[in-house]
Amino acid sequence: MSDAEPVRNVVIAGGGTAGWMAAAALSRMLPMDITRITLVESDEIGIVGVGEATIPPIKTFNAMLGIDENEFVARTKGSFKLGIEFDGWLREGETYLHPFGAYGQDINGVKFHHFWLKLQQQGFAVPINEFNMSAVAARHFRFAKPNGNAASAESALDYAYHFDAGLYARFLREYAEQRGVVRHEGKIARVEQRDSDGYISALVMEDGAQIDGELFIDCTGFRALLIEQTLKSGYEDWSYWLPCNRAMAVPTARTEPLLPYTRSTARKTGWQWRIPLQHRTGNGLVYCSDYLTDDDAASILTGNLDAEMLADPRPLRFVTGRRKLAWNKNCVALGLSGGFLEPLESTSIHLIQAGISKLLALFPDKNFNARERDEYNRLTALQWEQIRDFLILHYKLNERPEPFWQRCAAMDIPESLQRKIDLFAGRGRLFRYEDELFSDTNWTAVMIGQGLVPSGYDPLTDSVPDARMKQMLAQMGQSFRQAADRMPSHTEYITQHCLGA
Amino acid sequence: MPIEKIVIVGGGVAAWLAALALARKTACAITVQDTGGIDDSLGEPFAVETTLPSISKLHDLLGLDNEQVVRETGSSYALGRALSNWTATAGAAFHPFGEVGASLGPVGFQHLVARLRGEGQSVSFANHSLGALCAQSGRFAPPPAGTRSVLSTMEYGLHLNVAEYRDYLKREATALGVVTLPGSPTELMMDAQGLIATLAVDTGEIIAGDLFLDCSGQARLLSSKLPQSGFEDWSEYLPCSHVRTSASMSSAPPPLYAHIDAHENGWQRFASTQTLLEEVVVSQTADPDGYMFTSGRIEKLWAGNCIAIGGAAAIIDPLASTQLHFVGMAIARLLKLFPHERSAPVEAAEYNRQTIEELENARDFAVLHYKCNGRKGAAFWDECRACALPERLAHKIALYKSCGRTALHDEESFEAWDWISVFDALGIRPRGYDNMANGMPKDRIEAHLAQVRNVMLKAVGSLPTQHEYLQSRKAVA
Repeated sequence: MSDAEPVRNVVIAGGGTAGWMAAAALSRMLPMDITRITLVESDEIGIVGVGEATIPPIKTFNAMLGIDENEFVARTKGSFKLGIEFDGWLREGETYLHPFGAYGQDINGVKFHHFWLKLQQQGFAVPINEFNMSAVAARHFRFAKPNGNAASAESALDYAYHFDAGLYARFLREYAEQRGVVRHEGKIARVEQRDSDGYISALVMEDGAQIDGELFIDCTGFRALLIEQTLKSGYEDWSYWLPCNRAMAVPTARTEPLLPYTRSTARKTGWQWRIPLQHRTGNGLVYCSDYLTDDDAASILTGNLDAEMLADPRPLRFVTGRRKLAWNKNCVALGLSGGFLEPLESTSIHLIQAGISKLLALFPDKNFNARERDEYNRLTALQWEQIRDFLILHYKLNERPEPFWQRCAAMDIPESLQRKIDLFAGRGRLFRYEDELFSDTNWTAVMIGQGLVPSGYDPLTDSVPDARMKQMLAQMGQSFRQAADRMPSHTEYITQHCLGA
Repeated sequence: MPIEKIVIVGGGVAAWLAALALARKTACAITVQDTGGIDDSLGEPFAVETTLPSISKLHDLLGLDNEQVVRETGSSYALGRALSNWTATAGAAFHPFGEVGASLGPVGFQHLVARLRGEGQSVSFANHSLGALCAQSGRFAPPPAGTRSVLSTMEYGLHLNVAEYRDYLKREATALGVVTLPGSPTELMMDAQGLIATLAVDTGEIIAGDLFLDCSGQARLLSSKLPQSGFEDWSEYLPCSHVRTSASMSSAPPPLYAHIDAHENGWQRFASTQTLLEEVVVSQTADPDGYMFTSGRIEKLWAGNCIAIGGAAAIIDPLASTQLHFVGMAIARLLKLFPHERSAPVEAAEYNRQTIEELENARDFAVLHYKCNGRKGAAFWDECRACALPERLAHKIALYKSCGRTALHDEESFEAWDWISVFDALGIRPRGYDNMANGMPKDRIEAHLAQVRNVMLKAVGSLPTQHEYLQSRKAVA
């Protein structure tokens, strides 16, 4: 096929999590005997350690690379994550867990949460997280990898990881270099474009070296050197809905017990994350500069730590939104160059992963067909918007008194989110749209956690007699509790299987 | 006030499907207002309805067993559609239900085929499709559930004897307490909220209800009497509007597919069951002995406390066998969004949004056949090729042509392989394909294809003919 000569020369601009994830995946999936992949990075440019917490699909990415889980956790000094605890997001002092994995079991084709709602409305106030394996295990600080027996209660557990993103990048670098990816040390001085169509033709390094390429992947972080500074792809600003625009991060010493979940605590303006790793705890405050000075942010953060600080607080600035064209000409933006969503639901690494799989699925030939690019951009925009809506939900449904939070509660929200809220508020109805990342469980957890308890339930639950329903729910709850009792503690599990050096 | 009484207008298949489902899944009192006449509740008055594989899901919901339905109604099984004379070369191609071939690692089967074709080899999808191979050899038995056999990947629909099927549904629903009343509504009495309170029927009765389903086919006996009952006409995309049907008794073993043959001004379909052979001629030309339909949908599918289902809601050219599928989807969607009061605007809006997506995607699938036909020089077909194209379909076609991928959306009735099979049947060959297919040695791909075919042929060889299978089940009953 003469007019469809495949791309054989890929240049990745920037290391870090995005760059090395892309390098590792491409080196795994492309024919490396005839493909050249060059990654350009400079040791002098710092890496923004995008969220060290992840969500369950990361397991698919690692499996695609053929990475052994225990080795990966040990090498990245990681831990296991069963969900996110939201502290004070509805009101000060109130806490809920957003767990991974499904709630209970559906009965007669009706979603589990409807039966739970019916019980609630009959006056039996059992928390919904009693019916989620990951939530029950998390409450007892326990963890065990599901054994593969689909009939067991343990198999309902789903999980992701916390890890050191710098160590993950290093781990993937080793992987990619073993497969033939060439790393070129140095800073990019300028980007060369073809006169005819503006396509990027080469990166010229400060040392004068010229790196030619056919496809360029922009992993230069917030600088967006290729996709924005060179190609002017545009940025869609979402700060009306997600007004936080700064963060301050600081590591602290590890504490016991090692929590198998991320914690997100609402502060008077913004929120604070807590991510437990084997060797330290990652902390950070996400806030809005209209409501809080950097000095105040630093004192809120350092005043709310549970162990000694291991470094000075590090500031970060951002504007929430997405690059209008994630793929423009022959350049694809992955990671922060493609946009920013605060790490409230740990989606940063997932968005990199999703970008890579779409790129592989639509991997271009040298003609760079516009339809394929359109399809990539359509799917990418959709995914970003769906995650954006899920994040807005957390802010919209708060009942806190501070001006920042009051503003969030009063804001107009996208029509797509309003529809979801209305459907859930009535009878707990949920529909998952077009390859949506977050499932019914995720939406249920956060909507109920944020105080949106439906006024009714699906009338079709009436097909199950009340006594039978109560019995089934009691059995589910009991089987999850017993399964959690059989699991080792999170710390024990790590010590046995994947302790870092 | 909760929904206690449901009134279903229309006495055809659509009405009885809805009645049976609601009788099984709700505690409501259900009345079917039987309007009599020919059964065009699905859209067109076919004697044999060809269904998609989704019929199995519908039957699960209804608590019915496919095998029993086939036995009780003299129906038969179907594995896809044969398409002939749609291209310039006047050849035939097969659109099987379900997936074709098997991917090799991360590379989809269509890309492997494209690679080999690019090197001059002649490779057919149908030779690597379980459904096509079974259909060719006339062999069939329902796939075993929960095994690792390749047979478990087979998807099948049914060719239903419509009259027997309707009677069967009616018996089942009646046994669950559904009440039948004769007569057609002449007038709707609305309450202060603008909802239907009662129906005046031509027998003189006044029928009250909380929720009303319009299953009266194109007559739209309820929907057309509601305010703002507009119709979105899709004739610009789907030009055929006349259908003539002729069914005859036949006891020959029925083929496992419908044969769809394009002709000068449209197309004809042959579909058989255990007892009938029906020929359906669809065209743009008026036919005094025929039946007229207009492709399109009513604007508000769920309006107030009235929901239109089946032909009353929408009709899409019967080319893609979607009408019964839409009824099944409508019922499942209604159950998911079952209203708790007579007025349920949030549920109705969501129902309408999802249904419209679904209808438009399926419409596009039918439009594809017309738009990409290869019968150059025939006036009707030339016009079809020149016809307007919905933007979403334009993107689907362009993307497939470019790289062999399908852009799917929410609420698709047809999966990637349905689209690919039809693109291929229409002679569309993508210019490019997944580059990872180039990274693989050619002999590895060839060996993979050979293995896929061998595994399938072996599995097909282990099956009885459909005729033998049906006979053996009769003996069991």
